[in-house]
Amino acid sequence: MTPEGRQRIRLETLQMNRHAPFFFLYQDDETDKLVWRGPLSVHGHYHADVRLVYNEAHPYLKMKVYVLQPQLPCVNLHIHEDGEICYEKNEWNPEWTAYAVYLTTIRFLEEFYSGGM
Amino acid sequence: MIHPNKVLIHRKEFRKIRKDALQWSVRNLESGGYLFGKVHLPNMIAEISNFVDGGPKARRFPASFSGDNEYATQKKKEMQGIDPEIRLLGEYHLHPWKTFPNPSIGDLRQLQEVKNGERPWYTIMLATKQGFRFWDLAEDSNEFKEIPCQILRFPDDASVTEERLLNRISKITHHDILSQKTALIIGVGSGGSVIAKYLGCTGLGRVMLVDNEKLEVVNVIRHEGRLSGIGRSKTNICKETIESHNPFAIIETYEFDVTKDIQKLEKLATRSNLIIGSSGSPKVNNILNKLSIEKGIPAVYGGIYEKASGGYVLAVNPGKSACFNCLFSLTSESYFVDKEAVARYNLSEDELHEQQGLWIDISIPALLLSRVALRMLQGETIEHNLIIYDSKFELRKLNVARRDACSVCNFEGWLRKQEKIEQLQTGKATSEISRQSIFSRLRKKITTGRRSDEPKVVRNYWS
Repeated sequence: MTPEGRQRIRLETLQMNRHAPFFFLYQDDETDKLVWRGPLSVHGHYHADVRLVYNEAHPYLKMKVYVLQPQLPCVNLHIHEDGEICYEKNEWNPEWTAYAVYLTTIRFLEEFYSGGM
Repeated sequence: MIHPNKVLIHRKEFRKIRKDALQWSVRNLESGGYLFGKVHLPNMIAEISNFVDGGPKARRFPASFSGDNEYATQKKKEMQGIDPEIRLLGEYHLHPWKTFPNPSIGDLRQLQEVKNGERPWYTIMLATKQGFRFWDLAEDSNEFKEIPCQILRFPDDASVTEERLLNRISKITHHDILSQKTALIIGVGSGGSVIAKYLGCTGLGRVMLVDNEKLEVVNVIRHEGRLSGIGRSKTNICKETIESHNPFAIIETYEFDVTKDIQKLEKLATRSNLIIGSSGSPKVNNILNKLSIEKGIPAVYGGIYEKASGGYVLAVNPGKSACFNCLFSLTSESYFVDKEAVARYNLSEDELHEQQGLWIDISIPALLLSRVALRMLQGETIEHNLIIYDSKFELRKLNVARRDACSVCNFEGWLRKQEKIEQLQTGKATSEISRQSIFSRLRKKITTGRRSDEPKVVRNYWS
């Protein structure tokens, strides 16, 4: 990891620990990717396993988001069969941190459960 | 030892070689001849303008050939009487077998001897019943390396030389500078093919073309490729287009997805003097921007807005002017369809290709980009780093400064800004929180993965 990468992950970890304390960071054995994982509850709907997966070229390529346990039904094109959601309304921006993606996921779920999607 | 980068052979001479090969291969005898011409510096391009056959005293056998050296020397003197720069560039050798034209170990030893002696530029043209190839020694001199070859097709009575070819541009371009420069072009679609063609016709030394797509029917109406090229890779089509105009440019083609093989892209970028992002994809341009800033290589990005109603050209001088990310909100609105995403959404081919826009409108920003790229390659100062064009014939030239808190070209500034936000939210400076306390919040993994106090990242692309 480059010194800048180290600084960046420290900042992102700090943000997540402060604002999303139920999420934890680990490295997936199978993919070697870093993943933020934790529960989310939106409009009374509880998802025990939400994953924010870093791309190996982070922050230049977007993070993937999976909403699992329970998985969202594939009722529209923004929800994929493997549980991945297409959360970005605009193009991915290298300035987005894990916390920004976390907030966007909440916004996505709010829209989904309020029927706005 | 001199290693030619490319071999050019005149069609008239090539026909003579083919005639010789047909004549002796049907009799199952080896044959050979002498290749004369010039070496063009500094690009190391060997131009074969004269072929001399084995001569009247040549001896041809099923597994060996020896030429008439006296005859070749006599011919060489005659040729040098007309043009003193002509020299022996290599030899042609025919193996009358139905195999791929691979040279033998005997050929290797012979070439090592010749190249270490009087003729360091020497190459071998090996022909079989399956075709022909040019071979040179690799850098370590212990094995062969194939050299790209181009047959120069022009009327027999025309005289084509590099000087004459560049005659009309030689006084307005710096050929001595350009011939030693390399441009890396990512994306050779409707805009990229125009950029590649026009930049290749400036006397530029080397152009590297990267694209992973093949020409489709819907592309033909606004691409350098023609109907006959459907199904061929876009890079090869562009290579042929450039070479048909300027054979003295070295064109390399690569077919891969740059977002999936960043390491390969990085290797290409380090060999180039200018990166050109002509894919129009912010995803690709983000990767190019990272490489440009990290390696300090200047870059130019181009994009087209919806229905080709306009476009932008952004010139980036790393560390000095605004980078792609500094202007992201503007450039990300450019016109691009992510094929992967479209496939996921089950869109039809027609819907996928609903990228309306005339080639005329796409070509104008592409030509502007080519001009900016040429100026950068020649080392000229760029007064305005952003050019915005719209199809109402309005051209805006802007000078955009670097953003203080750009996460790519001013990472420290971005970090300071983020820390300031955190400080405002919590009333506590981030520096007060030790590294240990950050990672102490990491919790045990639930199902897969492992707990790690400090996450390990295998690849180095995190920055």
